[in-house]
Amino acid sequence: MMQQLDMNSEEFKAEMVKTEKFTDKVCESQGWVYSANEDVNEGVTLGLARHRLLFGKRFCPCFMVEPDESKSGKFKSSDDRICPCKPAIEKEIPEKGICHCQIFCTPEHREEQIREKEAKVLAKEELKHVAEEESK
Amino acid sequence: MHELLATDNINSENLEAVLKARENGEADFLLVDVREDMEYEIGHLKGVDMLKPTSDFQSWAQALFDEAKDKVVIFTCRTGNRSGQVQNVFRSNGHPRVINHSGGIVSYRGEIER
Repeated sequence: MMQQLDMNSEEFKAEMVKTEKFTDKVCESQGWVYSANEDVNEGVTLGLARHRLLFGKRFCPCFMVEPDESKSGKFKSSDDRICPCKPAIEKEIPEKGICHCQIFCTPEHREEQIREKEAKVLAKEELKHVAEEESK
Repeated sequence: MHELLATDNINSENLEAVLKARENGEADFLLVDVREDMEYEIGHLKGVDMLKPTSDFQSWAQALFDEAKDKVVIFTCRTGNRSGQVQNVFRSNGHPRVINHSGGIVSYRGEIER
């Protein structure tokens, strides 16, 4: 049975602080920003902290972590992804503007996300307004 | 509706549709979230039937395989990667009706429960 972690434990909270500093540093060093979806960012940060505590490395939380059969007691990510991962640096962010996990993106991509979010809110309000007018 | 459950992958829009159909008794399947407990607690798709974390895969896989061998099973996770891996394992072991929620919860625009 996999060891369970208590999100409210002091150990986990301390790891979260370290992970947030780590992701801040990744943004700074790579010229990336966080995505505009805060729930996604929180989920990924929790996942990274969890993996660091369980496996000693910040394996990408979107990929399965398995025992490394070539090194007893060690683990590996199924796609060899340790944050910030090679596919994000070399392919995903340069080509799509955002990494697979969707925590890191380019400033332009974040702007686009914000614009889309605002457009959705506006469309929703407009629909509500139309429905209200029609019901009069 | 049934054609949406006869494929290997289902996108978020179609998953939302089959969940609605299931609510109306027009579709039958199991929706299994393979993320970790803490991810589930932050938010999960309304309609998830069970949480089966991949970190604990060895402890639940055989039982779920046996329990659901005659059912359609849709696996979901954050982005569709872990659920895709679980789908592959089930499929390579002979489960005939396993579907991956491609794009995962980050692409889902339906109702999220917290």
